[in-house]
Amino acid sequence: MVDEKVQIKEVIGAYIKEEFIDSGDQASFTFDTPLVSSRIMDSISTLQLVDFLEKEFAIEFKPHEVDQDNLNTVELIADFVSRKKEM
Amino acid sequence: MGVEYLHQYLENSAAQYPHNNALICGEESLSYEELKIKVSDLSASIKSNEGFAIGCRIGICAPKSISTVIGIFGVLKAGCGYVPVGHDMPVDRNGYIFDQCGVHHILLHSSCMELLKYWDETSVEVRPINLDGFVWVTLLRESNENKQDLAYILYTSGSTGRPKGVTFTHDQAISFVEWCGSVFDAGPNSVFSSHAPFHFDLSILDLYYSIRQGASIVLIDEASAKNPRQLAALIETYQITHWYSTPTVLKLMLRYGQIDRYDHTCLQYVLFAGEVFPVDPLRKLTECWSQARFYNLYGPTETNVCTYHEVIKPIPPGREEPLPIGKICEHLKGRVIDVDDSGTGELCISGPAVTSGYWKNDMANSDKFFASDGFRWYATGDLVTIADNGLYLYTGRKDRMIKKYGFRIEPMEIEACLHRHPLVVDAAVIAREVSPTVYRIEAYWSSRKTEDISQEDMRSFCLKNLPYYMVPDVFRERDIPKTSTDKTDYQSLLREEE
Repeated sequence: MVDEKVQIKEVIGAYIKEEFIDSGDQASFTFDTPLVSSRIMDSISTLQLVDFLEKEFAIEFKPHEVDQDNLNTVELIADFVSRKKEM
Repeated sequence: MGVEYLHQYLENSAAQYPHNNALICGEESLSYEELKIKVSDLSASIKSNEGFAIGCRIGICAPKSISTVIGIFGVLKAGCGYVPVGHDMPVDRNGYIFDQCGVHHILLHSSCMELLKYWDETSVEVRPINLDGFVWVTLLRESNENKQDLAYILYTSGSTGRPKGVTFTHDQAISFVEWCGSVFDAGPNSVFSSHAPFHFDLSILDLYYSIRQGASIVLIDEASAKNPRQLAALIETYQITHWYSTPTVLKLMLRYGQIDRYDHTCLQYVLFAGEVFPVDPLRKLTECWSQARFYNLYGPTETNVCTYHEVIKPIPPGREEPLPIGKICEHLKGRVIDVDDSGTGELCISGPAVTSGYWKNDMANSDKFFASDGFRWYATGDLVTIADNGLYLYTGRKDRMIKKYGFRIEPMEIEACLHRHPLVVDAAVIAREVSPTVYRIEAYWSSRKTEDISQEDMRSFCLKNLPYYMVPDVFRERDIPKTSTDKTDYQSLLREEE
């Protein structure tokens, strides 16, 4: 279980870094870097991320779950994805 | 029934449809009668405040809610003009706006108290007021002129680096609302969306046209407004009949909203404005919502809607060029000036709905308005051509202003923000068109040699000082190229980078 979560984090982290992080900011990017509140990701990139997560992990976000509380950091996203996968 | 003041629309509808829902927000709703009573009570309290003067300006800083609408109508009924600002905008920008137009009072939501830090403690008085979640703030300052006919001031991005206040009287606003009444169809059973924030000009149609018709308004909070899945769900839940937003929001709903899961046959009108709607997603949307009538509304804040065009369905599969902005609204006049060989020129608008001008901004007023043929004209800065069928086609901008996600952005306002960073020596901001009508904002600066500013630092500096939609997409420290006359060489930046 722990291993799986680590793996989920790696996958999400790699995707976000590749798609949304400016080359100059990549060095300081961590799993705790705020993404939505810092506006590194705008609303459109957030939706793109949700699309990716749904396909990659075969989960589904309910309308109200597309929210900063679930998406602000790689840690939070991985928590959410793991919870969904267990359901 | 003709009205002289915007709040009379509410009084008329409350007399005709007292039990109809006027406002709906989440689980809450308020009937026309209840709304009228709450507005009367609030306006009485506003007027009873010490130092209150009819015709003064009252700021409103709050998230979207039923109380906020009560606040707006309460201010109008008290004989004052309201100045709405985004509660999620930087404190310095909102403080600047309230100082620039000299608001005497603010209806401030308790979640926005941080704004008060903008002023010296001794110059601010905070009191309770009978509006849920709000306080009444008085800014102790020298009284300046009061304008009895002012209804509201909407601030929009300014090319000199600071937002400018577009002023509207009741007559001007009513002229627009009456035009809506003559073109669209809506009644007491209609349900309007209110997607745009109240400091955005789309809110004028949402609020006053719907209330004129005795219809219900569904107030969409800021978090849901950005979430296309919530939007798609709420059209079905509230059986929205009249939708009005920017094309960006509609495109996102189409792309990410899972609209095929919902029954949207309730939609009768889909109105959009604020930017060009690319034909491909528009075609798809007209196919999904085939029962609805689609209108392309065009107009800068200064005129509100000034041209309109009903989308003819079906849109032919091969068509790629954007739809016309249409014909001039019947209550206005249009003309095209400085027409070049290709037939392109600047669209100018005159008429009773056009703003009286920018609040205390002589330079912008003399720049943008001129008198000719006995009329006063507003020069939009938008370039148009007229097609053989007489319809106007939008072709671009005369200046550097851009639209991003439907928001109006002057790169100079961003540049001025970079210059306010204490370590910045020089700065330049460009908007690069990455695909038709889609812009990426790029910020460049040079700083005092010994102290570098990281990209992260600059992003958070911009976030503190600019509306979120103006925060650049790219940040880079570099020498700013100059022309032979020592002006910023924007063309060279556009060429050099990427």
